[in-house]
Amino acid sequence: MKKILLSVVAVAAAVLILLDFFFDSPVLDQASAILTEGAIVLAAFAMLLGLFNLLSVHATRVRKREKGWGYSAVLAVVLVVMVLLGIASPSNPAVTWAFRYVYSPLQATIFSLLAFFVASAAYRAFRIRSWESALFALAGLIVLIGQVPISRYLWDQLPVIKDWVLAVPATAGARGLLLGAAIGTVIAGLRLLLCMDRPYL
Amino acid sequence: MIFCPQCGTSNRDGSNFCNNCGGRLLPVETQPCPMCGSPNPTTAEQCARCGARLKPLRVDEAVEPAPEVEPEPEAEGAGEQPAEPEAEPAQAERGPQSWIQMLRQAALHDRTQKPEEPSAEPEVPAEPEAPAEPAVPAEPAVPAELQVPAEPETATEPEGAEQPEPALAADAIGLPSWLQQVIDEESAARMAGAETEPGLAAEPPQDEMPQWLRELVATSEEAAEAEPLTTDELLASLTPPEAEEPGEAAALAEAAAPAEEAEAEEPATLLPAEETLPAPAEESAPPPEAPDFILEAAVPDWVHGAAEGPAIAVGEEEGEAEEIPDWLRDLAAAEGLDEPAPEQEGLLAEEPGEAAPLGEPEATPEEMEAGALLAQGEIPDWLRELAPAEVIGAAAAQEEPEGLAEAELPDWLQEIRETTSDATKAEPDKGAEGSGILAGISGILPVAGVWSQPRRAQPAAALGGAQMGGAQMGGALTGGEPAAAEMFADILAGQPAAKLGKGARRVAGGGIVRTLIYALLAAALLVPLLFGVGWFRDSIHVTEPAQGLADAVEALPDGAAVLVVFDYGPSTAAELELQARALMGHLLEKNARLIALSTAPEGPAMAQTAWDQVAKGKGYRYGEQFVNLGYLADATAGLRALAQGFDAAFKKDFVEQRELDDLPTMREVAKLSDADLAIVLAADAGSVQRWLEQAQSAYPIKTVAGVAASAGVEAMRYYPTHQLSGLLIGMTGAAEYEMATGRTATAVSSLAAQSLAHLAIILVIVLGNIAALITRVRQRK
Repeated sequence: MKKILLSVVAVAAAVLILLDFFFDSPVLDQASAILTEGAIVLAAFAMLLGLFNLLSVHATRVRKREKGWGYSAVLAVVLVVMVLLGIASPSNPAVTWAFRYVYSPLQATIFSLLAFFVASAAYRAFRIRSWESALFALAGLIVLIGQVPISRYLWDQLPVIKDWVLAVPATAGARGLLLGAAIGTVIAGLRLLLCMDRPYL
Repeated sequence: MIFCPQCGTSNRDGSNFCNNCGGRLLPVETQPCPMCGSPNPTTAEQCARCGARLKPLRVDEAVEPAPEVEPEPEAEGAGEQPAEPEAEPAQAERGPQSWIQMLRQAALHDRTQKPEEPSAEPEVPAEPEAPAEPAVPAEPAVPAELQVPAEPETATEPEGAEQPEPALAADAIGLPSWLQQVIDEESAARMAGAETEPGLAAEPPQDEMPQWLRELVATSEEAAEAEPLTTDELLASLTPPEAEEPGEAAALAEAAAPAEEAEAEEPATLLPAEETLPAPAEESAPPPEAPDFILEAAVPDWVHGAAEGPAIAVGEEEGEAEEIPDWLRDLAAAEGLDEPAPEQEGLLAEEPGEAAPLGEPEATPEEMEAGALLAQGEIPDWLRELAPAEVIGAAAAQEEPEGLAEAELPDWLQEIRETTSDATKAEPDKGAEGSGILAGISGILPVAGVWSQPRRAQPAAALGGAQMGGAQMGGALTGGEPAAAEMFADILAGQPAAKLGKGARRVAGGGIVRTLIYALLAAALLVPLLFGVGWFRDSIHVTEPAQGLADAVEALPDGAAVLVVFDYGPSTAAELELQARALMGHLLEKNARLIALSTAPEGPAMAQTAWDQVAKGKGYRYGEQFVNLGYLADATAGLRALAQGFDAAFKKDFVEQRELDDLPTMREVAKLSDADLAIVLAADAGSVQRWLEQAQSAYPIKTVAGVAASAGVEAMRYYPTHQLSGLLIGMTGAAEYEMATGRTATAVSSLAAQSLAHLAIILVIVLGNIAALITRVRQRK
């Protein structure tokens, strides 16, 4: 009985959301709005739960003096401080300062190193050993050089070829992947609606 | 050989964990069960697996004098030929019949050696052995190793049915404790006038029974208390409804009838056992001097099947004739005993496989009892169906696999078996490691890690062995792989590996080549940034998607409401912030109202950063030209809520915490369709996809996007379908937008560094191919 009740509630919610996509009805809009708002609240609580879990894990490491517990202590302290400041005012100047002058430069620096890793990897990854690898390397070189304006100095048709590669073969492949995933999503949705899958139980 | 207490698999001596189930093997200080071979703690009284008693019962000599054992040679078999006592000492060292008889001799010997020991367990009957061993003389010459397993048998042999205590009589045939209790209740009611020793009718402790069994017992007790039941009524009450209607109940009643008819002819001491164990219809009432035969013949099928649980587990067929394992029969035939005497047959039937369930299952822990009973077949199928699901699950987990379970035989019996039955001898594990940390484990050598080692780092001898055995690594390490196995053992044993040489490090991607690559890339980035502002500006070509976006913004009416989604963080800000600045600047010049929101946690800060940079010195005011609504939790549901109405997703703005209605930016913008344009600035194409699926599909709104270069291909698929009216890809897209709007700024000046960086990477690729080509040519030469 409990499972049946849960299944009915879940399917009813899904059908309501689905109908709201197809019909312009104030009733459906209202019902759909309530359900989606509930989902947002749940997502926010999930994030809160993750926050407490993170604090719990690092507090345990600090309490047991595990290796690297000092980093955990710093993390926990900074986390608590930032959360408290953020709750007081989301655009608190201290929070904004920390984000702009600590977090943002650090993340940008880490990401910038990717350019060097990519260059080092390209030294090996684009080696031509077969017909397929030659095609792969050629497409990469065309897009790489065609993406930047200097290509026109080399050959004015390079950007055109680059646009064709991106618009036709690459988009065809990406679209194929998307359609395949969409079909899978439809099937998964139908299974949920027909109670063939009940992950919510 | 160590037997796993969980699954019964035999493991090598010294193993800590089971090869089959991984369960922890018991330490050395265990004693094997004489019935099933399972190891038990030395302190245990009964076997945790089969319930057999592990320690000898102490018998009060005053109650059971030894001489009473001697007579009654005809007790076993109701007119059948008894075994010859004089032949058995000679057989004691030759065959299975001999050792079984030796077990009994050992029991008698112990009993005679300890006449003064007081009875430690008064509930145990005083003389369980007396009529059971008519042909066994009290032979003191018993091997010491057989004396220990012999003693427990005295507690589990079915001869106990002859005792006046109904509890033991029922227990001896392997009845479940709850059924035994019911029987005791009924027997007490029916034998009110009979003179028995009340203290000997020990009831099984209720607290040791599983809950579901207690409930069954309680139900049965209530029925028994309400009205004394006859045997067939009792059995019928214990049988499930579906079993009553078909033939089972009728068969039970039919089988019970003769036993009740014979009740008057039997001594009162046999009544309880007989009531619970109706004889088959075709059997005559058994004489009182043949209790074993009575028990063998009178047990109904379902009880019989329960009592034969372990025998089934070891692969024997059901039925009286098949109760003797084939290998024992073969052995008997080899010794000239083709037709074992009835009592011998009975004795053979009582060998460990048979006698195992006849112990005292209530002695096992409560958690294990129900599962163990179910697993061992001591409970009939219909009762098994009544058990709760968790109990059945526990039983399934304990169930032995089909076939011959070696663990059911003790070591000493296993040795006999190996010498007489080659067909059932366990194959040695040829692939198992003989030494090292993997000793006893087969087929798990992590060869992948070994083969991935650079060959020049491997010792020459080991490399040769590895090459030799490489083709056969999928199977067991036999034949030609000893060198490879030795190498693996060395590596796994932690021997220091040869260090990589300079050449190896260079080949592995480190060293000079990598340094040169990094230096080249750094120069390609720094030189234009320092000296090349404006390089290649004339060669910037505005693509169609970028032009489409510029046209969409250009087409906006004055004071248009534009939704800007900031779904990126600092990592891609180098590209997307340039796009944001170009777009926001253009939009603000068009007197548009910008409504910023984000489905990424870092988005609100990125929006605020972009706003601060664009509005700086321009006189734009927050709340009028721009508002930051903040983070929208759960991108999918959040966008869906946003599509239905801003107030469904946001209550206040992110910066000033003002109500949306109080913000001039939000005037006349209540829902998504009120906005004139939506701009999605995203680090990945997933954000664009979510927006199109959840928002634009239901409430069509003109949408454009700007994505990082890495997401360009995926986002591009939405432009030809007109789901996106314009698209910017990476820093190039930002520069194109600036060129399209005639507002050249940071993006255009940054594009020179990007151009040279791309050229440097292309150069690296070309050089890498040239180096590889030269290497190949040299190798060919």
